[in-house]
Amino acid sequence: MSATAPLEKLFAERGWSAFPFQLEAWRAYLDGRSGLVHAPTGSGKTLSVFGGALCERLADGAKPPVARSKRGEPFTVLWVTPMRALANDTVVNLKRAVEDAGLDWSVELRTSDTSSTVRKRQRERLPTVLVTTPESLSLLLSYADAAEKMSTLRLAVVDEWHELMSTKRGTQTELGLARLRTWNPKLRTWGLSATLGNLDEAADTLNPHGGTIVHGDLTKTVAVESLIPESIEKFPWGGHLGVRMVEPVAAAIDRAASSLVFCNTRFQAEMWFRSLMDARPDWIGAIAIHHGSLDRKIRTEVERLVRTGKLKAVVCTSSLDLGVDFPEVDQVIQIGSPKGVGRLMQRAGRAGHAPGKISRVLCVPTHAFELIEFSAAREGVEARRVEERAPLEKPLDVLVQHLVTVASGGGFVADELRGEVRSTRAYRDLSDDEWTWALDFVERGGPTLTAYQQFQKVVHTNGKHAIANDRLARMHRLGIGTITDNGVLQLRLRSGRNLGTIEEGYIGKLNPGDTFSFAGRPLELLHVRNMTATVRPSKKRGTVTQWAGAKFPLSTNLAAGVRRRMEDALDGVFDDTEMETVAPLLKLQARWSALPRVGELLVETMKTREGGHVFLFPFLGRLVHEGLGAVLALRIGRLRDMPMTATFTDYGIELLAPQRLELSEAEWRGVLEPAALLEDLLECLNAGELTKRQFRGISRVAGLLLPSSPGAPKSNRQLQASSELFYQVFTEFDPNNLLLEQARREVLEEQLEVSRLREALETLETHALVMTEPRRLTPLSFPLWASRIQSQTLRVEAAADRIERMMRQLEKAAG
Amino acid sequence: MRFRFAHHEFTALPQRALRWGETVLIADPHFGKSDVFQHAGVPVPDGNTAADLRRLDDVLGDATRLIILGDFFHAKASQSAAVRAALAAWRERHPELDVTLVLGNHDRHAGRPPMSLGFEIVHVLEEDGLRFAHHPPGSPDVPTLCGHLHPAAKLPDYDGSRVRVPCFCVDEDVLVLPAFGSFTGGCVMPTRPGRRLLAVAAGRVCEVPRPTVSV
Repeated sequence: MSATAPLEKLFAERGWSAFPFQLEAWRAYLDGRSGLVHAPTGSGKTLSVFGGALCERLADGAKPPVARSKRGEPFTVLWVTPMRALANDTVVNLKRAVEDAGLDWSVELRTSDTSSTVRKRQRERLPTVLVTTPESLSLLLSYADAAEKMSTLRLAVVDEWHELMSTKRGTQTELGLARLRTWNPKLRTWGLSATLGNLDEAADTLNPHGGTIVHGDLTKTVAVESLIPESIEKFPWGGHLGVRMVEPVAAAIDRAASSLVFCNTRFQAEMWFRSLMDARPDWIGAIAIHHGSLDRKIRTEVERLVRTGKLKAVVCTSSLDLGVDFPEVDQVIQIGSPKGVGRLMQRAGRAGHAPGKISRVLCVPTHAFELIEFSAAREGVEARRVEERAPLEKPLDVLVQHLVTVASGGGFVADELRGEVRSTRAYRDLSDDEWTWALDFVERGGPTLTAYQQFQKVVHTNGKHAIANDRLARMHRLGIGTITDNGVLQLRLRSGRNLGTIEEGYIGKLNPGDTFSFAGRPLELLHVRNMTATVRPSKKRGTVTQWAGAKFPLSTNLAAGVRRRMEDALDGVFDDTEMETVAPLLKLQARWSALPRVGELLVETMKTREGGHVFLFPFLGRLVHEGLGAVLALRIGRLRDMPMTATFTDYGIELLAPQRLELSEAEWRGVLEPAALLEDLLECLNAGELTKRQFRGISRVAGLLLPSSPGAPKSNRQLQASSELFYQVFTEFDPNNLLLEQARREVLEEQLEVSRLREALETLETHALVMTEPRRLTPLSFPLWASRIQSQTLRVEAAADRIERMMRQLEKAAG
Repeated sequence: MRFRFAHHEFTALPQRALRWGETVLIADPHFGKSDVFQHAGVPVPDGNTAADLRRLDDVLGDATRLIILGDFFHAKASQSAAVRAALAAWRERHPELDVTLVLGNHDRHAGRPPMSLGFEIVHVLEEDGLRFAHHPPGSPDVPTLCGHLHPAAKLPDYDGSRVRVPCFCVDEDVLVLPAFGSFTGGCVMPTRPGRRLLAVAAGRVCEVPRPTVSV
């Protein structure tokens, strides 16, 4: 009898049969191998990895399958998931599988939301299957008896690895897995991933010692459709066209049983939720909003309602991107740019969430050019041109945090831990110097020469490094969860009811008495104290004020697709409704300025009351434009001795100077030179702004910014300082600190990636320059200009008024 | 930069201090702040206290008197051997200086400066029709000079963006000094009619233009 037979029999009894890829994964697991399962959501991938562990237990004939001992079965499976929303769902799925297999396994959740009673019980004894987040895994490792408690572990699973891998939490997971492997060399680690451009790299990152890749059934198809506006605006800018699309979107929601409406930002979600409510007041209670800032209780309730088919629609953000199972959802609507082929496929997969079904996604443009993106995305989906996601290279802040975690969790011998850390993909090239620096940093605050006199955190005694005292261990644990948290405040009603969290930077722009929209309701800010913003419901409508939230850049992949579609347009090919609809706008662009071909770089120059503007359109995606913008601002600033502000979108760059900016073609060629790129980038970095911004995240992970949540001890208040202050102090008194170096490196690698920029400049070198001097903002430059206006003004309303006025003038001029 | 407040003439100095005749005023030095962080396991380099004391040397010049408007030490752990030694050395450079510390909220927990520094310590000081306090008064009956707020102003750039810098905040009856300590944050003061904000940055003191009403 084969080892998978017991489970296959159980399947057969229920009239199911295992998919070939599930059997393949089970067998690999039973052979003692690790691996990665590549399959779309809703195809049974959960069971493909969990089934192996079930088989193993079922085949374990020595013990009866339903052993009821008081202590229960030992800790066997660890399931790491990037999102808490997903964790609840996973527990339900795994419990069902355990029940079906007739096993007496306990399946429990442990996230930052878990109650202290449950956590305490889990500290005593772990359940058979533990579902947790990367942060909570780190927390588990930070207790002195962790090694002993986790010694019976057989399988560690990382869910949604494609999403987690390219983040610092992914690196945190790599380090955590390495720790578990040291304790338990026979441990098998399995990942679950959707389609990625670099699947092999993803597999290597998860299993640096080698693992197998199991491919699931990938025939599931995605159909991309667009909601075509009746009249196309001549001057599209973010948000404006969107509001006009409310009626057709409401009609689409009406036609389906249950819809997910994906927005790209929380601000957009709030705005759409309110507009839909205005359009259909009788939908009160039938539609809901879901985003990452809302209180967990509200989110959980919304998720429950969608799952049971009780809601007509949920307006959501990436908070519902990942594989939460919503069998009742039959329509997915994407508001605005899909940003990437992979992301659109993932979102589409939320509907028709069952093996073999076609997933449809209805795309709604918020500005006209997004129609081109939809057209390009469809092409990308059909060609399966899915983006790559790069895993991170040795982030020292994460290493420093991990060292303190391990020091708290029973301590470490430096040489042994160095080997373990280097066994991960992220730190495979960690140099001895970097290792020594990280160790010195947690032990002395800095290298021996710059040791900080009062510093103590990790002490070195008898060859072992351990945390200096329990108080510091507790404080460190409080800080572990903050790897992704931006500076956030609790948002609370006067009654004390929690509404969720909101970015410090956003609240900082409001004064008491201002109203804003949150969770779909108007609120008035009363006061901000102790990291809590107190509000009350307002009768005024309140403006939906813009706040940051996550913003995804358009992938380079999709940006290239957009260029190809524009090239088609120039050749008179308008072969889908999207392109036909956008045709008049492209023609206007060609008439007022020019529409660039694939081998051309369009440069529009103009002067307004604000100063001299230059709009460049390389169409390389926001990430590349940010770096290009910085370099160009530096070089032109040098040439003309003028201050320069760069703004960038996914399509282009705006440079703004106080006076008219006129560069000859030769001068443009000069500032676009690939030569001396690195030197100039370094000079941009030394100017500081970019590095300072990056340092914010680093200082949080490295434990400089202490948690300032309402739960944190009061004494921490003496220890509050902004990352900006830390940055200033470090640059002045410890300029060689490697955390500063890391900030510079992260900017260079993630934002101003030298190789990518050099490639961009080399490409642009071969481009013909198309220089125009349009008399007014063009269809291409208008969104760029508007994005700067929006980001610098405090209230959208003020900016909106201004933009509307501009619109009227411009439309009048266009006739 | 010279300005008048409550019929007295003051000079706002770019070192974040105020000159009033023979007297120099500073507020919120928060000496030994990095020591507090280090003690709590947060790795912050030393150096601020020493640099701040050198800046204080620059300001003092021929002054005969120094008034500190509260928050001398940041917290208890600030009173490390190194910080005390630096302060003692500073005192030796200014043996004749008459120093008054008006107590602030941090001073309650951080402990008072060592006796050897020879400071006069008061809760509040009144002189020449002026009051010297740490906290800004709720409703001023006497023109008051104070600290505590770490006031900052936002300077507009040509492209509409803004930069935050420390400032003196001058109202009719209240004058708030910027925090002297370099390792301190700031609180942006709203503009209002009759209020002057004197920004301190890049070795200069400049008045922030009042916002014009746009039509």
